[in-house]
Amino acid sequence: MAGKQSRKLIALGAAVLLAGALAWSSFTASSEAVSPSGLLQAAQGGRAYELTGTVLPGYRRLGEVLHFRVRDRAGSATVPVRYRGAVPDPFRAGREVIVTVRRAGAAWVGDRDSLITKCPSKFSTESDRR
Amino acid sequence: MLLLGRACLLLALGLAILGAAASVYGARSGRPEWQAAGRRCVYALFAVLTVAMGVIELAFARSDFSFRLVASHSSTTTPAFYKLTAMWSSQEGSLLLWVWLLAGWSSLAVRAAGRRARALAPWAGAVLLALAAFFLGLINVLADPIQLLEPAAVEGNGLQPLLRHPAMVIHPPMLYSGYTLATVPLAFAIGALVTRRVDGAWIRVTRRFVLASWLCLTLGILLGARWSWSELGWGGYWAWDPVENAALLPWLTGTAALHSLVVQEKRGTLKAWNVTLALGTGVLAVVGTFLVRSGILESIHAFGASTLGLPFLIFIVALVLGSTALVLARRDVLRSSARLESLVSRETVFVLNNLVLVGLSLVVLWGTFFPLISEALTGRRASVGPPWFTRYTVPLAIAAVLLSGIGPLLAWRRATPRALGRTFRMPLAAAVVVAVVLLAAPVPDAPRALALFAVAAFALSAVAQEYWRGTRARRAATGLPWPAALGGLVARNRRRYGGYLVHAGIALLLVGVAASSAFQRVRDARLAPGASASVGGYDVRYVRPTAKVEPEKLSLGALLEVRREGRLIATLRPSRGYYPVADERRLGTLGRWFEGESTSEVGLLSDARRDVWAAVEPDLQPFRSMIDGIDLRFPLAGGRMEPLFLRALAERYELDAPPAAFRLIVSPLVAWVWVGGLVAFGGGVLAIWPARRRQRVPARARAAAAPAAAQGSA
Amino acid sequence: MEAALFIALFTAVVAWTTAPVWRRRSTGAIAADLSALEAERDARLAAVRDAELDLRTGKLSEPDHRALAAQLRAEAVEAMDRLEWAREERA
Repeated sequence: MAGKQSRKLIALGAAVLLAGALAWSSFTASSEAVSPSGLLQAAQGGRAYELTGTVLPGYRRLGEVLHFRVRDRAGSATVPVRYRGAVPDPFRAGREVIVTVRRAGAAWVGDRDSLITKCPSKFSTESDRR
Repeated sequence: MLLLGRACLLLALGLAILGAAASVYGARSGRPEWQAAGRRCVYALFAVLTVAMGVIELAFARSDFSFRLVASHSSTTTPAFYKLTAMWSSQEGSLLLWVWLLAGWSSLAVRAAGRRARALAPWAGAVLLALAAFFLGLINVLADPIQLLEPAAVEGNGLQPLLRHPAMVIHPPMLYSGYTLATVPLAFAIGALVTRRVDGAWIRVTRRFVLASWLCLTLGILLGARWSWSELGWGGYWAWDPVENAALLPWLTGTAALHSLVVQEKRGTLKAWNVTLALGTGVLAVVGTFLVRSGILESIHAFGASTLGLPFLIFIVALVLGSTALVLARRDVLRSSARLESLVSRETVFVLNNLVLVGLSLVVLWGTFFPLISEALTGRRASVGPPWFTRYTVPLAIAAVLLSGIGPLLAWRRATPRALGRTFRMPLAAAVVVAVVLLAAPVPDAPRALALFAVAAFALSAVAQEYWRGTRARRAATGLPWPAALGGLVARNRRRYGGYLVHAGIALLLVGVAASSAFQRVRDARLAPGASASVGGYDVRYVRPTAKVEPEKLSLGALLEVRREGRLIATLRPSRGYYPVADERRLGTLGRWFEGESTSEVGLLSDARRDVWAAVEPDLQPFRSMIDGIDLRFPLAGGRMEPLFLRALAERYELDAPPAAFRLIVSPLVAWVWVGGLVAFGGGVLAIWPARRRQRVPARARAAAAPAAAQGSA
Repeated sequence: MEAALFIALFTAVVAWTTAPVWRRRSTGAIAADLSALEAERDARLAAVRDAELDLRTGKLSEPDHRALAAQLRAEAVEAMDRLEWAREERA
C-alpha cells in the first residue's frame, strides 16, 4: 500500500511539474493575436504578434519579398507587411491570413514561413462565386 | 426528390429522439419490448439517413442545380468521382456524413451488444441516439444540406480545386469514421457506469470499435499529411494547426485506451483509467468536430465561423460535466481489487505508457486551446507555435517509443529477473550500435533526433526478436517450416503480433519525422531559365519554363534537372495551376484566370533515402500589361476566343519567362513516415481481424490442454 | 410521387420500430446477463496461453512458469465454474 501511495505521489508530482512547465513556457513563448487596429494601438517593438486580417488588393512581389496590406476583418485599419518565405496557394486579395510580425522601424516584417492563409470558407459568399 | 430528402431528415430526428426515450424507458423498467423498439430505431435511423444521402448523391450525379448544395460545390464539368464525393466538402454535407456514419456504427454496436453485453445495450443505444439527435437538430435547424435554389442555376460553381485529389476525398470520411467510431466506447462506458457493470463485458463489445476508430484516424491523419507534403506549396506535412491537433487528440487517448483495455481484460485493473479514456476519447472526437466548424480558433482548415459554435459548445460542456459526475458517482465500483504483482511486468509498462500518452494529449490540448485560455486569464489572445509543441512532444514521443520496445520484452504479471538479461541483450546492443555510429558519423548536431534513432533501433529490434523467438518456438513445437510457423504464430496471436507490428510502424514513422525535421535543407531561390541553385548537396537547374492550357486550368511551371556530383538524378516539373472565376464581366477575359483559385503542383522525387521537393511561383507582373490589354479590348470574349488568348499567353511565357521564385527542399527519410504509417495501419488491421471459429475450442478442453502443452514445450 | 414514397417509408419505419411494443412479445424478464462471467472466463484462458507463450519466448523461466500457470489454471477453472453455475441457475 505504501508502495502504491508513493508511486501515486511520484506520478502526481511529475504531472504537476509538466503542467507548471507547460503553463509557464506557453505564456512566455506565445505571440499575441491582434488585428491591424490592435497592432497600431498597442504594439511594442521587438515582440512578435500574430496578425490576423484580410488581404487587400494590390499586393506585390518584389524579388523575394512579398509586400501586402492586412485590413481588419470588420473595420478599416490597415497594416503594411513585408514578408519572405512560403506563400500559401490560396493567398490572394480578400482572403483571411495569419502572419507572425515584428516591428522593424516603421515597417512590419513577417517571420519567415509564418504566413497562413485560411482555406476559403465553405460558406463562400455569392460575390466570390458569381 | 428534394421534399423526400427534407422529410427523411425530419423523420431521422424524430427517430433519434423517440428511440433514445424508448431505450431509456426500456432500460429503467426492464421491459425488453421497449428496448427492442429502441434498438430498431437505431437500425431505422441508418436506413432513413441512407435514403437522405441517396437523394443528395443522386442530385450531384445528375447535376441537379435546383439543390443549392449541388450548385455551390459541383458543376457539369466536374468529373463523376468528384461529383459523388463533393457532398462532404461542405459544412452541411459533412455534418450529414458524420451522423450517417454514427448511425451505421451504432447499428453494428447495438447488434454486437445484444449478444455480449445485454444489460448495457439499451443505455449505450440511448447515448448514441442522443448524439445523433444533437447532430440532426443542427442539420435540420441550422445547416440543412437539402435546400432549394430558386431559380435553379444553369451551371454550378464546381469543386474547390485544392480538393480535387483522391487523398482529399478519402480523408474526411476516414476522419469522420474515426470520430464516430470513438463515440461507441463513450456510449458503452456511460452504460457501464450507469448500470455499475464496469467489469470486462463492456470492453469485449467496444474493444474493436476503439481499434477501428484508431485505424480510421491513423489513415485520415496520414492521408492529410501526405496530401499536404505532395500537393501544397509550403513544403511540410504537419504544422500543429488546431484542426490537425483535433484529429491527433482522440488518436493519442485512443492509443492509451487500446493498451489500457488489455490490462483490464487480463488483470481486472485500471477500470477508472478505462472509463475515463473511453469518455475522454469520445468527447475529444466531438470537440474535434466542433473545432473545425466553430471558427473559435484560427486555423487554415476552418469551415468558417458559423452559428454552430454555441450549440456545440453547450453540448460539449454538458457531455464533460455529465461524464465527470458519473465517474465520481461510481468511484466505489471503479476500485480494483487486483494489484500490480511486480514492477517488472508488462502491466507496469502499460501504465507508464498511459501516463506518457495522456501527457502528450495534455500538451497538445493545452497548446491548441491556449488562445482561449490566455484570453480567459489575461484578456489577450495569444498562441504558441510549432517550436513550443515540439519542445514537449519530442521527449514524450521518445519515451513512448522506448516503452513500446520494453513492453513486448516483459512477461505479463511478473518477469523472471534472470531472463531479462537474455531478452534485453540484442535490442540494447542495437540501440548502442546505432548511437555510436551516429555519434561518430559526420551528421549535424541534433541530439533529440539521434536519441530517437537509438530508441527506435531498440524498439525495432525488440519487435524483430519477438517475431523470431515466437516463430522458433512454434516451429519447435509443431515441426512446421519457418513460413508456416510464422503464419501460424501470427494467426493464433493476432492481437499480440499485430500490436508489435504497430509498434514497429510507429518507430519507423517517427524515424522519418525526426530525420526530415532535423536534417532538412530548404532553399528559396529566384531563378531565371538556365540558372542553378544548390541545396543539401544537390544542384537544381532551371532548364526551361513550361505552360499548359486546359479547359478549366492554366498551368505555368518549370522543367528542373536535379544533379548530384554532376550525375543527373531526376527531372522535376513543378507548376502553378490557375483556375478561372466564373464572372468574366467583372474580372475580364484573362484577368478572371488569375483572380480565382490557384494550386501548386509539386515536383517530387521520392525514394527510401530522401525526397527532393520543388515548388514554383511564376512572376506574372511582366504579363500584366498583356492581360489588362486583352481584358480591355475583348471584355466579353469567350467560347473560341478565350482559348486563343490563353494559348498566346502560355506561348509568351514559354518563350520569355521572367525569373520565378522556387522553394527547393531536400528532406531525408521522409518516405519512412508513410511507410511506417502503413506498417502501423497493417498491424492494426491484423489485430482487429477476428479469430477463426475453429480456434474457439471448448473452454474445458483448452484449459485441460494447457498443462499438456506446457509440458510438451519444456 | 415523392409524397407517396415518403408515406410508404414513414409507415414502414413506424410500423417496424413500434412492432415489439404492440406485439408485447417479450421473453419475460431479461435473462441474466452472463456476459461479464463469459468475459472473465475468456480472460483467464487467454492468460494461460499468454504465460505459455512467455515461457516459449524466453521471458519466463520454467519454475516461474510452472508456479504462474498453476495459479492461472486455478483461476480459469474457478471462472468456468462460476459461469456454469450461473447458466444452471438461469435455466
